[in-house]
Amino acid sequence: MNRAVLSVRNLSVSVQTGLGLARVVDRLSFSLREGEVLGLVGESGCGKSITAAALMGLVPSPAGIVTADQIMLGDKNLVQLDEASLRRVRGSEISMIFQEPLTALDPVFSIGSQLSTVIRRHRGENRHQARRSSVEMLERVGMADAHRIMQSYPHQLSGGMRQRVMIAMAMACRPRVLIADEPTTALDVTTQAQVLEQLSELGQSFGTAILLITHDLGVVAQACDRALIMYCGRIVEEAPVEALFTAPTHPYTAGLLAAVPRISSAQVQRVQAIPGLVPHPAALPDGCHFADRCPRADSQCRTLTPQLQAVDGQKSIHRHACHHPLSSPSHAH
Amino acid sequence: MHTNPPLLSVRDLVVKYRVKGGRGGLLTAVNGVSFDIHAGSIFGLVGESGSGKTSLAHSIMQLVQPCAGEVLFHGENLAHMKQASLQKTRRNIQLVFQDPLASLSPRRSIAQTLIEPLDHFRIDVAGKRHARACRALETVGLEPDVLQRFPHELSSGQRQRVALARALLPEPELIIADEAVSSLDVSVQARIIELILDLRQNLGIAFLFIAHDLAVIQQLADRVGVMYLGKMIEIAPAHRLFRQAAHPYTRALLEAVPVPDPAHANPVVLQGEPPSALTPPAGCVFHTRCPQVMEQCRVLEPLDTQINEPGLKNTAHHVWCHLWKE
Repeated sequence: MNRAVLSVRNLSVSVQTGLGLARVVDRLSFSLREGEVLGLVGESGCGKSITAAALMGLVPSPAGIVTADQIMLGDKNLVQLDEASLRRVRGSEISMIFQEPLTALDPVFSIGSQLSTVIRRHRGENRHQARRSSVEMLERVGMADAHRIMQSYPHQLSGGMRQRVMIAMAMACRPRVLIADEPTTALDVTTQAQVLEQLSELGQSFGTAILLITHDLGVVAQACDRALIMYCGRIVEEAPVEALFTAPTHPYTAGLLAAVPRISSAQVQRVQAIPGLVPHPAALPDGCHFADRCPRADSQCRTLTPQLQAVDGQKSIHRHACHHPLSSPSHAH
Repeated sequence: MHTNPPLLSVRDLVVKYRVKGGRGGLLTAVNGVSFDIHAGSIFGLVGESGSGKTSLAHSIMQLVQPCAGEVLFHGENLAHMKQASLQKTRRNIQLVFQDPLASLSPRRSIAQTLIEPLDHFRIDVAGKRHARACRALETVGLEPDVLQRFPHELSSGQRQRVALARALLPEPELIIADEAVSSLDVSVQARIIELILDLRQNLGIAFLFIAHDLAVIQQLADRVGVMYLGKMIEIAPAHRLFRQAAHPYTRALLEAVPVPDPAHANPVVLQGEPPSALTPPAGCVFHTRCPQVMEQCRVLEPLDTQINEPGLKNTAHHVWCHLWKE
C-alpha cells in the first residue's frame, strides 16, 4: 500500500446557522495515498465541500470554526502553519479546482496572464519562461491551439475549455495533492468524459494524488480508486470502489446506489428513493444520523454513535460506521 | 399505436435570436424541428447545453416567437390564436423549470404562489381555492402546513414539489418540464421521478420532459428525441433508443454517461466540442465530431429517414443521418 500524502485526523468544522451552531463536519479522519484518486461522495449539505475548504484553509473565520488534530501534507502540519506559509503551500503543493470555473477565473485578465502569474509566483520563473510553461501546460490538458487560448478571456471559452484552463493552472506546479470539487458537474456528458480522462492522466504522470469531490456515483465508478461516503458531516463508509459498488455495507450507501438511474439496454430498472429527509445540521439526532431513514435501525442506533471500523472485524481497508451493516452482497440492492 | 390526433404537434419549428456585439448576426437555436406528443404520454427530449431544448420549450409556449413552423395543440395553431384563447390554452400547458428557487417568488408564501394561477384562470370560487391548493400539495406528497411557508424554508426537493403542485393546479393536459430534476440529489430525484410517473398514470397528464441526463430520460419517457445544435437528429421509442440507437451522436451520448459500476470499461471519448450555433457547419451538423463521417456528410444535409424493420411501425424510428439512406 502506498504511503499517505495527506493525512487528516479529527477534522471538525462548525458554522453558525439560523437554528444555532451546527457541526457540519464531525471528526473526519482519512488518508489520501500517493498516486490515488479518492472520491469524497455525498449529497448536498453533507459537508463535502466545506471539508475541502477546511483542508485548504479557506473557511472564513469567525463564521466557521475549524479544528483538527492534524492535517499532514507530507511532513507539514497545515494546522500549525501561519497564513503566509499556508499561502506558499496553496497552489504549489496542494491546489484546488471548483465546479464553476467562470467564478474562479478573473474576467478581466487573459488566460495567459492568469496562468503565467501562478507559474511566476510559485515557480519563480521570469515572464518569458512562464509564458512558455503556460503554453506547455495548456497543451498538456489537450488544448491544441494553446497560443490562441493564451490571448483569450474566460467568457470567450466554453465551459469545458475553462475547466481545462483551471486544471492547467492547478497542476502547473505539480502539486502533491489536487482537490477537485465537483469539477465536471456543470459540464455536458461528452465534455465530462474528456475532462475526467484528462484529470486522471495528468494526475498519474505528475504523481499528484486527487481528492475528487462529487455527488455522482457514475463519476466515482469511472474515475476513483477508493471512496469515502459522507452523510451529515460524518464518513459512513470507506472502501475501494469495487467493494463499494458490489458489496456496500452501510444502508445509506446501498440506498444511494438504488436511487441512481442507470441506463440499461434491457428492462428499465426503476429507481428507489430513500424515505425521509436529511436532518438539519443544527438539529441532528443522537446516535447514527441516518437512523430515522434507515430500514435496519433500532434503539441502539438512536443513542449510540457508531464508530468507523473495519468490515468483518478484519484489518480490511473497507470500513463502515454502522451497528447493523448489510453483510451479504445480496442485501445490497 | 395511436389513432387519435396528437395532443401537441410541433411542425418544422424554427427559432432565431438576434445576437448583438462583435460577430453579431442571427443565431438559429431551433432549426426545423418536428415531433408529436400524444395524450398521457411522456416525450423525453435530450441534448447537451446549447442544443436548443429550452428555446424549443419556450417557443411551444409562445414565450419566444418562432420564426417559422407551427405548434398545434389539439390541432389548433397557437400562433394564430387571439390573446384570450391563447390564455385559455396556456392553462392546459404548464411549465416547470430547473431551479425552483428562481421560479418561485421568494416574497410570496407557498399559499400565495399556489392560489395565484387559480385566481388568474378564475378556477373555482375564491373560498374553495385554499382547499384546492391543499389537495394539490397532497398529490405531490407535501403536508398542508407547507402553505404558510416561504420557498427558502423548504428543501430543494420540497421546492420542486411545490413547483409541480403549482403546475398541476390549472389541471393541464401537458406539462413541459425543463431540466426539472437536474439540480436535485439522487435520493430526492428518485422521488420526483416516481411522482411524475404517478401523475401520468393517475391524472393522465402528458409530459415534454427535457433533460441532459439520458439515465433519467430512460426512467420516464415513452418516446425520445435527441437534439444537436438546433436539429432533431433522432426520434425513437424509448426501449428502442436505449437498445438500438441509430445516430452516431446518440450512441456517443449513451456511451459517455458514466456508469455506476467500476467493472464497466471507461467510455470511448467523443473528441472536440459542439461548434458555435452562430456558424453551424454545412451538411450534417454533427460531421465535425462524427467518428463515421463520410464525404457527403460535409456538404449534404441528411434528410428524415425512417428505419423499417419487421415489427416496427414505419412511423416509429426516425433518424437524420446519411448512414441510414437506402
